[in-house]
Amino acid sequence: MAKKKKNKSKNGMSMGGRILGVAGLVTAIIFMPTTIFLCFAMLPTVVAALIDRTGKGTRAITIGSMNIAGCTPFLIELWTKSHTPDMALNLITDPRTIIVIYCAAGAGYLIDWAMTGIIGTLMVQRGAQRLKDIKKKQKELVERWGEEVSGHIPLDEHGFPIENKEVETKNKPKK
Amino acid sequence: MVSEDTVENKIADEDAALEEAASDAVPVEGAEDEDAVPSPARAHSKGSNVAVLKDKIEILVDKPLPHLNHGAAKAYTARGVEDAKEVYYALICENHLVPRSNVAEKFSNILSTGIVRLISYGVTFWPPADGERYVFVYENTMGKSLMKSLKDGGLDWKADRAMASFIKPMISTLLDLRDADMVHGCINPMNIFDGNSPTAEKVILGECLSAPPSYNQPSVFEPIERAMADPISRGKGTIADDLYSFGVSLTMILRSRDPLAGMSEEEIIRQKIELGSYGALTGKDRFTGSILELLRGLLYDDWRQRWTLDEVMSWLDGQRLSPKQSSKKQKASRPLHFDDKRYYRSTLLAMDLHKSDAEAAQMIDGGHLEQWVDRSLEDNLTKGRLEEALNSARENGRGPGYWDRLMCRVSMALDPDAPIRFKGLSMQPEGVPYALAETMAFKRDIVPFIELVNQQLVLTWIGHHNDPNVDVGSLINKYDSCRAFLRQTTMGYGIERCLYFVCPECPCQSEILQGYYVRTPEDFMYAMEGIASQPKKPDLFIDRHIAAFLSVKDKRNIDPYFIELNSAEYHKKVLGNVKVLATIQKRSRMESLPMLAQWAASILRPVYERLHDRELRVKMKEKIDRLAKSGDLIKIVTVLDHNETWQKDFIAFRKAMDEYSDLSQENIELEHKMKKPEVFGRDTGREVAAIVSGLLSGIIILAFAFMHFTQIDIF
Repeated sequence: MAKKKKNKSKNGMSMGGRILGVAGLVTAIIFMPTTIFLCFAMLPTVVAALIDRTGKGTRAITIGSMNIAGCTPFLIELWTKSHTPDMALNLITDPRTIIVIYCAAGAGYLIDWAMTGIIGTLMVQRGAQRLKDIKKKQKELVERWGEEVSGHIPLDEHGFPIENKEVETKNKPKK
Repeated sequence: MVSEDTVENKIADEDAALEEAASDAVPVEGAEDEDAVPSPARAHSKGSNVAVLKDKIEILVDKPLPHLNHGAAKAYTARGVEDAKEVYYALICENHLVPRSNVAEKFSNILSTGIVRLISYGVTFWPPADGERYVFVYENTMGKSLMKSLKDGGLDWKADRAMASFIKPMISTLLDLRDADMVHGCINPMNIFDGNSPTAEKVILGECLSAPPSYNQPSVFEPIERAMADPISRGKGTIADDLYSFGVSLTMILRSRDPLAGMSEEEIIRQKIELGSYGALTGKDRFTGSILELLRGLLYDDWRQRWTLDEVMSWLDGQRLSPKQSSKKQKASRPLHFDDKRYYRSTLLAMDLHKSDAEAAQMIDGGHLEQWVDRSLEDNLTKGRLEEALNSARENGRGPGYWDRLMCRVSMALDPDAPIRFKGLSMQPEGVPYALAETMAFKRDIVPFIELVNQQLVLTWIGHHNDPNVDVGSLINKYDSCRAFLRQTTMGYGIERCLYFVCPECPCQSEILQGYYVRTPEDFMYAMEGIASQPKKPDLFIDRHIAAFLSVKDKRNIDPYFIELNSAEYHKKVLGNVKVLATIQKRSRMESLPMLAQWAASILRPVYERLHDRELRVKMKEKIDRLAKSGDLIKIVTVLDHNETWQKDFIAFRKAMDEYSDLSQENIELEHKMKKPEVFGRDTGREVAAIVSGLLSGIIILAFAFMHFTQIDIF
């Protein structure tokens, strides 16, 4: 534990994170044109990540996936024609590029909204059915094994209600 | 989610286990017969006028023979089945009196013309009593009794006639009894018959089996110490007692009047003690010659000096034996004043001690009794016994029961030959079992008997008694065992066990068996089969009496189940009851008992309820009901006692409990989630959206890559 604490910096980043961060920074500097392009193109994803309060980042992944898909043709163009900052700025300032990329991110948002609604409704219906099944199954268990199967009654070591023991001697067949 | 078929799979296993358990059992004879008829009862009447004994003897209910009644046992005409001649008579025993069935075999083997011949004996259904009775069937060649009652006084026979018609046949009969190792116990002129001869040429001795030993014997015919005992508790006695009775009978036959006429039994005993038996019985009648010798020899009160049968035979052969003086009990030089009377003899004082408890207590505590014994009676043996009695009575303190204990022990010390006198009872040790049987049959107070055993009064009596004819070892063993039985109060022990242990011929006195005469475990099973067909039945088969009875008869039938029988849990009791029945059926190799088996099956509800699985309960009940129809208790118990079935049921129940618990947990979680339906499923939806989006994006990227490398341009 002490070692782990030592490995963490004051802002909470681990050593691996630091290395990754440095590597990423180096990569970003080496591929500066791509970095410039993505900084503008991936803004919807950044916004989605910032406003996602669930903490799981699933919305950012959904929007980000579609966002990056929207960036793909322009990244190919950047990499194949001229991988320069000017080219990157040209692309990003082209309204068509921004519209295509941001529409793709919007599609991601739509997917997130639609799937959450559909799946949520399905889950609620399924949960209600499951509750009914549980009640039915428990009723069947009680019918077959008696109320004592519920564990709500104090039982002896043989699994029979303790209070019944006292009256059992009187439990003679009625005539 | 818990597996739903986890428990379901158990049913098939349990069914198979039940089938296997049932098939493992050894079938009883006739058990497989689905149409098995109820087992035959032992003996039944032919209508209400004829009772049948062992399918051989018919007893005619409407033909009583009052002159052959013997005590409480009533006599009726009897005949062989389908036989026109009514040559027998039957004595119907009363159930509260234990008949001497243990010596019936010996009695039937006596081949003598001088004693009534026993033809058959056993239990039969007796219509007038609407229940079973023990019956003795004798050959009816009896004629009339020599005396109708003691009031006849004497017969005034001449010596020659007495010799030919009475003495010789009776001595022959006594020899036969001795050879059969049997004591008659009821030799008296009311039980001696003329054999249908008007001159009584050869007398016939009557029966002695229909009641406890000497119960029907008037006390005047008993030696002093036996006459002091209650009739029910005189015990078997010895041949010397029979010889004394013979002597008294002979005296009555020879004498012309009764010097004891009008006296109570107690007064007769006093008279015998004061005058000696010979003097008391003969009065002013004077006998001479050889008869005098015989009478004196037979009527000697001290059994040690009384003539033996060999001496009587020598006398009969003409040998002269020195005449013995009649004995009298030791007399004190000065009297002891007690209860406004003067006592010279310790025997009489012992007899009357209970008449004034307060005065007796004062006399004993004040030391007057010890002084009298020491200074006036001058009998060191009595003095020693008295000191021992006082010390032993005081050993346990002066708490409750002290005075009863003290009186009893002092009485024994003063007269060691006398019976045990305790709390109003007067019993010879060998007679205690019969008295206990009668007391329990009449539901009287049994506490005196319990105290008698616990305080070891019989052992004290044995310690004072020096009669070699008393089987000391047997008595000590018996009463030691009884004390051990009394220490345990559970079913199968207690005073009930003492009864059947000390009185093996006593029938089971359980209230459940009312109307039945049960002497063996097999009898018990047949009786239960009979009770099973009645509308009103008890809840269980075994009560304290039956448990003790069965344990004494054959401990392997019931002792292994005592824990279950004594359990506070009703289902265990029920199971124990059925197990005992099945064990008897198995061990006695009895035929099927369908009515009993169905009764047993009908009370098994509490046992089925010990199965957790309701479905298995139904299956087991159906299975047992099927087996019950075949009358096979062994198979029923095998099914019930199949451990694997119970274990599997318990394991399945535990699994069902776990399943229920898991479902409950799931239910709680689900209900909690569903409290906010707008949130419920959101995370899952977003995860699904992320996956869908990821997949779609992958496809788009691949598509763009493909188009670029294939030079397709969409923009």
